[in-house]
Amino acid sequence: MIDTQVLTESFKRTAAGIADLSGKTPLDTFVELARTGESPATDGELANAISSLAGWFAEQGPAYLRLMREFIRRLKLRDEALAAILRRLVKDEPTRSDVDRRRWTSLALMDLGFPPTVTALQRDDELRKRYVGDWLSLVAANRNYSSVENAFVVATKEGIVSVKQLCLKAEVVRRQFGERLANFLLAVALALPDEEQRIEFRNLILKMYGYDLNDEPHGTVAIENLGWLDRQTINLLERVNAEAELRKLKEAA
Amino acid sequence: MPRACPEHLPERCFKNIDEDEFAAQEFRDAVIAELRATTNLLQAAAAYDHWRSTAKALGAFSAIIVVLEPHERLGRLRYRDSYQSTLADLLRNDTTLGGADESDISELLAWLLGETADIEDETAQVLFDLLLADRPIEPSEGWYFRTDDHGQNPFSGYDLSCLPWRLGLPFVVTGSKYVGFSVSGSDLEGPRRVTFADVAWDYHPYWRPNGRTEARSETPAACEKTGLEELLAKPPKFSSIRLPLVRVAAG
Repeated sequence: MIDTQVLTESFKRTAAGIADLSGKTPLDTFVELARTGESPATDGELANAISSLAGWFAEQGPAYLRLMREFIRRLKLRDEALAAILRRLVKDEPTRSDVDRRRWTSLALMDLGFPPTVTALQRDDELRKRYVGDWLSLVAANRNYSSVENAFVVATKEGIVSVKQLCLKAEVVRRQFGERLANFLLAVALALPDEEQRIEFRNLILKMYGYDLNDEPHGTVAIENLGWLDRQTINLLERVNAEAELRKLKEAA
Repeated sequence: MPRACPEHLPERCFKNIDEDEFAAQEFRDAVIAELRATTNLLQAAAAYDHWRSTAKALGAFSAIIVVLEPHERLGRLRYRDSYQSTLADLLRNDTTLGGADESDISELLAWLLGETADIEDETAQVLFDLLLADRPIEPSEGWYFRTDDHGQNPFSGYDLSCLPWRLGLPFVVTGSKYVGFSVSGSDLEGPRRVTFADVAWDYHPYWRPNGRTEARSETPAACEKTGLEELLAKPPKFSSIRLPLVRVAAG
């Protein structure tokens, strides 16, 4: 059984900046005891407690929503009813018009296993431009590979995604999509706006995964699978494929 | 003339200030005078924290710098779960990166701790060099502990599960997990003595002046009850930290 008053107090004290010298907060202690204490709480009880407080968190501000998100993440809650409440929260004020509240609520939804769709995320231009790292994490949590790749490619072409960010997110994509990683790397490499960035990215990927993005088999892509790309990129890919074919013929000769 | 404890103050708070030999007499007098002017505990707490933050902002304290042994290493303990958020915040503030979420770095942290992680060594090493190596391990001054032998491994020679208790951490419970950093003394910038002015009002029940931590009264029976020498210092960069980081679970 969760004591909501104790839980609320833990949120308040943590939001006020109380922590010990190791950085552990009253909320950390609550989370720890919820799992390992004398009478551990069930996931349902924990999700219900957060559901009852979600509106209050939104009123208090982004710092509280961030703590709510950490609570959900650490306790690995997967609760559809709580997700439905948070989805409503995103659509209502004060969250709807506050990018920081949307950010933490969306990340909480991601941890619950119900990330905002890529379409919804693409509509949230403020979130995308202000917090591109978080935005890409939310995108990558979606299950549809093509739409994830497309969102990355578009943002990369716009020049708002750094090479470092792409390297970090490559790992997120690998964990989510496994064997599609090579496609992803090539697609974003081609989307990088300048040659210097492309070279830097290729060198880093070579070190990270041993993939040479200039080389076969990763230098060629099945263009018929990339129908959503614009004509200019498809032309580029066709040229890359043609050059790879030519190299192969020369080597065979 | 000896200072007297105002009636409404907890004795321990008063003693922490009164007996702090690393703080100048004039500062001890000044803060006690401020506290004497209050009439209850709530007022005293507010007056203390206000005085402390103002004095710190004005740079009113002269720090006592500690000279460390040439090859010694010091330890730093961070609560593991909140450290992952701290790490994400460090990356969030990097405008050249464009931010990152803690879900992006959970495997990298596991790798740093030498745990089985869903990330290849080569990949983790590149991400470490790219994202962390040149970055301080935390955003502001941290509390470091020093073992009595001033040796090269601050995490050896005693039962590690006792460490959080011996450091007097107020929120420790059995099973709490921490990340331990072993830092070369030469990589610490401005290691200095801790004074009462570094301690928030709420923290006084867990702190003792004059340079050593006090083990928690609930420390498990099998643990040594002695505290450890403590210092404050600016954080070193990740590149100077010994890897893997040390895993500590409170006994």
